[in-house]
Amino acid sequence: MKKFILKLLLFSIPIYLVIGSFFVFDPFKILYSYNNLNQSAIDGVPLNNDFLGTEVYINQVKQYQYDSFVFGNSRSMGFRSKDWQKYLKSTASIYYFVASSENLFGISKKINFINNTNGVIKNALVLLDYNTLYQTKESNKFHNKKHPAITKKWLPFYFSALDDYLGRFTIEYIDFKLFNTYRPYMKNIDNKTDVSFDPQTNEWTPSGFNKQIESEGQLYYKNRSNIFYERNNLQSFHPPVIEQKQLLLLKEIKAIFNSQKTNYKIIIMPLYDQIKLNDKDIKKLNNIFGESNIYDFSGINEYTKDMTNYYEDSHFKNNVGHNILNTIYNNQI
Amino acid sequence: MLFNSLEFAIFLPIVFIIYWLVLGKRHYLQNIFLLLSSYIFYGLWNWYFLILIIFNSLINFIVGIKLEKIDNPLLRKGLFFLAIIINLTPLILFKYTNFLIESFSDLLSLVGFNVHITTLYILLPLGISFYTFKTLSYIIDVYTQKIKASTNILSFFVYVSFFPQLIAGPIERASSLLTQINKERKFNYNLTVDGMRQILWGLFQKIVIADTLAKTANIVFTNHTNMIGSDHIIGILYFTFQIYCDFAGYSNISIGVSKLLGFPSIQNFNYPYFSKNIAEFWNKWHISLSHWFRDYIFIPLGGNRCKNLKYIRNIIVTFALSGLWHGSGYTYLVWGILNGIYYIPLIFHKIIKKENNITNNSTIISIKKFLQIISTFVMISFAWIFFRAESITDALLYIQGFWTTSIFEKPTVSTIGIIFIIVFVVIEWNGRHKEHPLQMEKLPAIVRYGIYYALLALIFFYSGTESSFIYFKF
Repeated sequence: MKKFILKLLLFSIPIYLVIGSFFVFDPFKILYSYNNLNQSAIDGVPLNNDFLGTEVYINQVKQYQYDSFVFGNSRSMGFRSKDWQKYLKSTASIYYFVASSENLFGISKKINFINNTNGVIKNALVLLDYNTLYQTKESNKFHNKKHPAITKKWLPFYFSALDDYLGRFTIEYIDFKLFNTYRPYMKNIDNKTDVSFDPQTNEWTPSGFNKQIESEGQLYYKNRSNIFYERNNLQSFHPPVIEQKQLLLLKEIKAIFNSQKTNYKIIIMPLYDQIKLNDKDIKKLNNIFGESNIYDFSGINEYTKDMTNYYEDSHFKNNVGHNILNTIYNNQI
Repeated sequence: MLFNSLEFAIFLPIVFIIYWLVLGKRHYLQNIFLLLSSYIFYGLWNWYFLILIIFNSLINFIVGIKLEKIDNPLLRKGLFFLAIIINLTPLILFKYTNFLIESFSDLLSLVGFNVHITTLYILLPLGISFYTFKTLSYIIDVYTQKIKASTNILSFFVYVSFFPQLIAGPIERASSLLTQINKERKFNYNLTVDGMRQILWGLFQKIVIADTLAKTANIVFTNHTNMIGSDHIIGILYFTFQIYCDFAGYSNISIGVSKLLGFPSIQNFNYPYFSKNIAEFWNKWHISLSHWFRDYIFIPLGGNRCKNLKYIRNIIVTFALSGLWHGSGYTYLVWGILNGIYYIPLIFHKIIKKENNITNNSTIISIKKFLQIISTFVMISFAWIFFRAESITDALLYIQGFWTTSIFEKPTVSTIGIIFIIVFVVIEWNGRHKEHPLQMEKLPAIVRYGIYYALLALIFFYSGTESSFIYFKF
């Protein structure tokens, strides 16, 4: 028995080294404290922006006294803080409490978290679409997992990170870290995404897209005809998505907004696919939040018709967000 | 909990250390611990379905004892059939309800009644087909007095839920596993090391070969109507090796884990793709299941000691049931029957025998044997189309894709998997006399460790997002 254990321990030395590298390098920047985490990737490693966004909020809430929040997924980068600020009191302090592939579960948990940690929500922009409403559970993927301070699930979070790290990714990561060279075999190393985050507001800026549009001009759209596919101009609808689980989360959000006396706007975002959120869902949202707080920009409309309003088929540009805010706050809808 | 997950990589060493280092000399406590570990292993997937396993274990334990005590043959027979019904009811309910509903609906539409019948969303309890067959074999063996009924409730519960074999077999008989559970176990260095090697080989089969081939095979089978003939060939070739490496990989890990806990287990795959005919193939593929069907279906039906027509009927019925065991769908039924049909020429030529020349030591084989291996492989691969397809129509459309000149064109899908297959076949051919190819004690230590580390590196490189095993859904 002793012989076996000893042999196994010796044989496994490379495995300890690999596991050890996770704790030494902290590739996802989740184990130790860091400054300047306002990047989408460090050392080629795509970071969990949901975790980092929460970390930044926790660290800075006292300093900046955030009281106005944007909730939603990466499409929130279509709304700029300076555009929203115009419609708020000059003292309002904005924070983008957003995440990639954010869902209703995440939005509700974050609003709860702010409320439970004695935060103030004077203003809120809740940015929704079909996919955001569809998901009511935390994702199993590490990169979309919430900060454990929000979910109170510390062990599963760090376990999931280690699980994601071990395997092919480890080899790619160590290679990239040592030689700082991107090689074609590196499937998990991100050398393309270029999104920067404002250190105070956590506002996302798609720097990469902006650079590409600047350099390519009108050719940007011609070069991406496969992404900007033809649409048939017939209005189609998503199937109803708001069921019992969604209703519970939405009512929870509404209760906190009521208790905080929040001035909120709920926006159904204009997506390139032009599929409209189902009328039944809009009715349910109206019933919970009141018709005057729901603004539906999904489907075929002035924003979705023009493909130059989009970076690709998923994210719309700042001018769209700018006009939507103008429409909402000037009651032009 | 998947064998190829980080959770299991943590779970197994903890179980191993407690089992041997803490409880090593206390057999009773070892069995209690094995039962608890098995329930945790299963319960982490779904605690509710654990109740089903406990119920199954309890019923079969009681019935086993009663069957032995009752002298009245009629009463005995009645209890036996009751136990069979109780065992099969959850399996039918969970696995075949929708199939029966759909079949009924199809039947009605055949006679002119077009009715819309809604199927139910039913979650299939993991491993139900496996542990049900395990307990069925126990009840049948007790009834036919091949074995004595277990009087040790703890041992019996461990037998039913033994975690290395709980989800996807091997379906080990009580005469083998229960006997081992009842005996005291001593740590055996050679057995443990061999178990480690077998786990390594199983992980290699699953993560490196099966999961790599699965990517392309899935693309082809999902989009085959838009693909050229040579893609269809690649698709089925990849799936043929994917399903083998997936299931044999699982079996190897399962057997390896059993060995770590001191249980030498039966061999479940014996290099089946080197078989010279279909009979030999089924003696080497999923051996524990094939033997189960042989002993509890084929032989009771009359086996081969009868006229050819009856013999053929017995074969077809056995394979049809085997097909349905794999899945509740017409595709599985056709797959089973097709394998049965493959037997017919062998019956008429009376060439079903256990002769197995391929295991001789020579590396080179005769052209005749080579052609026999290839033709058997082609037949098996062809049958897998039905196994993999979404429906019979889908399978026929896939087959239709072969009948074009585009089978000679360069495939549009990735062909890198062919290199994996060639390397894998060479390793298997070289190791075909052994239980698994990593039994290579004669090689110098430096070479052996070189091979272990190389396999470990490949497993590590190809791992990441663990995927489920195909046989889990059975």
